[in-house]
Amino acid sequence: MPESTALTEAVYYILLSLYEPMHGYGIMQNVSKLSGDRLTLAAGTLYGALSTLLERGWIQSLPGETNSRKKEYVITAAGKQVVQNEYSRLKELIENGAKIIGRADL
Amino acid sequence: MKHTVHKVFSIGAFEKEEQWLNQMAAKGMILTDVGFCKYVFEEGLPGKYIYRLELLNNLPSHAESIAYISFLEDMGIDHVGSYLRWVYFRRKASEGNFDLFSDIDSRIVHYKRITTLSSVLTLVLAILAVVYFGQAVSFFATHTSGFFQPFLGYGIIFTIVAALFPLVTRPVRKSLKALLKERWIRE
Repeated sequence: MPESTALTEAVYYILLSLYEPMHGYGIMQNVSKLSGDRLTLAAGTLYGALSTLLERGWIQSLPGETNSRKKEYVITAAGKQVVQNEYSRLKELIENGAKIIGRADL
Repeated sequence: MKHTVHKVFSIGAFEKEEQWLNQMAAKGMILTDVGFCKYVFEEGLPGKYIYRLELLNNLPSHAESIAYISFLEDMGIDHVGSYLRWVYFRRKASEGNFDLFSDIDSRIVHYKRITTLSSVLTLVLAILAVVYFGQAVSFFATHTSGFFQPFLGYGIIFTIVAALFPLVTRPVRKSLKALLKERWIRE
């Protein structure tokens, strides 16, 4: 799936979070942790992103446990491919930035 | 003690409405229920809650809305009440700043939902106005007397109301335009 357009920060971090199964609240906490509290996902934004990712088949919801109504989500193979592409794209951005800005500490 | 306040906010002034509800909450007047131009407050701890409003895609009783609202409830957000497709949420201020949307795209989606509703309502009312004006014309064509026919009046009323929606949603369209411009250069 060649995806040339950039992912949003929220989507990139949600997909990274879902390499392990998580429910909504867990994703929100994990994204805050990963970004060092720079990025706080609001609940409405997170819900919209999860719905779209489910539709695209980049994530799937796990069959719910009987004692919990909270849905858990996990990344799919297609989703991992998207993350891989985005990683390469970001790497290119960083490397070109480094070359031109001239910082050697990357 | 309960206090009922009647106040009118237009569909385009939901951010003003939000602001007002938060000012009330800061004073210890906590919103507990809503209705048509009606707000029910209870006295409580000042500044305990932050309120946010959202226009949903469907009525709150719709399965999609139920799934969404229960997702928010799992995140510590209370569903205070709703009026038609407008839903009133709150979260404890102790949990930090509360927003329903955290990026430009999801804010754009919400603003667009509001402008779309406004356009649909304008269109429906404009069609009704045209129909009534048509009736009025054919009435005058077939009657030589009788000024007391209501069609012309209805036509005028519907025209005025139809024109009202684009007018009152100006703040939303302005915010939407600013965000769309911002998105050209930023996520």
